[in-house]
Amino acid sequence: MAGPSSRYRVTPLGVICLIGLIVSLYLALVWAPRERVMGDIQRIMYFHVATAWIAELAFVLVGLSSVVYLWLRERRWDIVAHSAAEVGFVFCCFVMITGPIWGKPVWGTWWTWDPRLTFAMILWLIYVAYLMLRAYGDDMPQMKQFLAVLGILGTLDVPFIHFATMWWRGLHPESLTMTPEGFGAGMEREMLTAMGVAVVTFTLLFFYLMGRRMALERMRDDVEELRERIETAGERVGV
Amino acid sequence: MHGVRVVHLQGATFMSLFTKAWLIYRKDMLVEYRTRERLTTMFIFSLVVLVIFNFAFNTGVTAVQSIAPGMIWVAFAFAGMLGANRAFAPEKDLGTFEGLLLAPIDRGAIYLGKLIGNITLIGIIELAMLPLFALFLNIPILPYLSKLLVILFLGTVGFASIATLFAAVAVNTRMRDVMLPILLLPIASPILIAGVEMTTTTFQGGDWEEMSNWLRLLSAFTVVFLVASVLLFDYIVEE
Repeated sequence: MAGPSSRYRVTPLGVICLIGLIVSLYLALVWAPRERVMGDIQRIMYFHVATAWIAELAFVLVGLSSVVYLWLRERRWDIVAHSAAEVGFVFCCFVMITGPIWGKPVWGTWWTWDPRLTFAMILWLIYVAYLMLRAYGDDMPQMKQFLAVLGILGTLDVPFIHFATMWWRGLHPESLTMTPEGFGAGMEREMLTAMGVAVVTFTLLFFYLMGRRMALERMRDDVEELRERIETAGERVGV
Repeated sequence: MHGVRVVHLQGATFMSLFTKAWLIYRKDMLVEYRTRERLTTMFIFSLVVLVIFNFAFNTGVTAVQSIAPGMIWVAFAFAGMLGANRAFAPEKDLGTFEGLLLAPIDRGAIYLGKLIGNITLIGIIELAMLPLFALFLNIPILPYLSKLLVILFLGTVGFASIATLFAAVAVNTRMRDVMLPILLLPIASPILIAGVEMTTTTFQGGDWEEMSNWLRLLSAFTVVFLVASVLLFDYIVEE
């Protein structure tokens, strides 16, 4: 059992994340040129896209670690899935908040049932379901298996949700869709650089936060183990 | 991937898996025949949804026809969840589920038996409700009947395959009745989108050609989640 001090230490990755965030803020808000049509509001996209990528990455990570958990039955893979879900959910919330802030001035509406928005909403709901199951059933012995099953099914669902939401709105040509070509084509080199830095920074930040979250979960396990040891020791001396 | 588990599945031959699933199915249907609990509640519930939706939208004849596909699918999905919950809840409460698990049968057979039971009950409700939808919503169903039945059958099998799995999860949680929709509906959203879209196309006189994408999506979803559920059910009921 590692000492608690090692888990509170500022890690190099944490420092890199901090520097990366500052650089990324500068690049996105100052350095990158102003977008001609959308204006300054477009700058939110650097963070929106970067967090959206993380929300999806974390989702797949939950599924993969759930498979490994069911296979090996090692507590650490359950911790990976749990941490990825929780941190991924925070990023997914960030996506759901920054999207409408950008959408209101550009599209003229806070929300539209465009394929990407619908996809993000369903992803968010599956995250919520996963975390709710964690919260309301943690006293069950089989709960970790339930969660792994839910994590696997959620990840299996991603391509289906993708195509369903795409075809659902694909029938309506009036819907506002940003195509990948339309989005990337109009970008200056500086914009692409700012986007790249933001994506890398947020990816590092995600893994940093996940590491901290996993350390917290391991500490909880340690506390639980200590408590049990105290109880058994207490029983032995007849307290 | 499921190294240890698959051996378990292979141990039972193909025939005996279905024979045993059939026995479970017969037992459940016999109980249902004697009590008619699930069918009655599901039927009345669908009827209530039909009536309440009419109040909720308060629309004229033409508008009703455009929302009818959505009403039909929501009614069946809700009734299906009700039925799936009752496939496990009484067994859990009476302690007979432990008996079922102790029986020398593959857990996959329990899942399949419960699944076929759910499909049967939802199917009966659909057959009973379709004329009522036609009557109360003023939609001509007879010309589209064969298409509708195929679409409903595919959607029901896909929906029931995950509903049965998640019902087995939800029955173990503190808030079982609330947990099932929260777990199930986001994952099942591709089915509901596909079902509503295909039903709408059918009512507009479209043929299979126009919904081939949805047909493929629905079939793929059903196959993927059916196989995944049979494999994963083992982990759900494990003590």
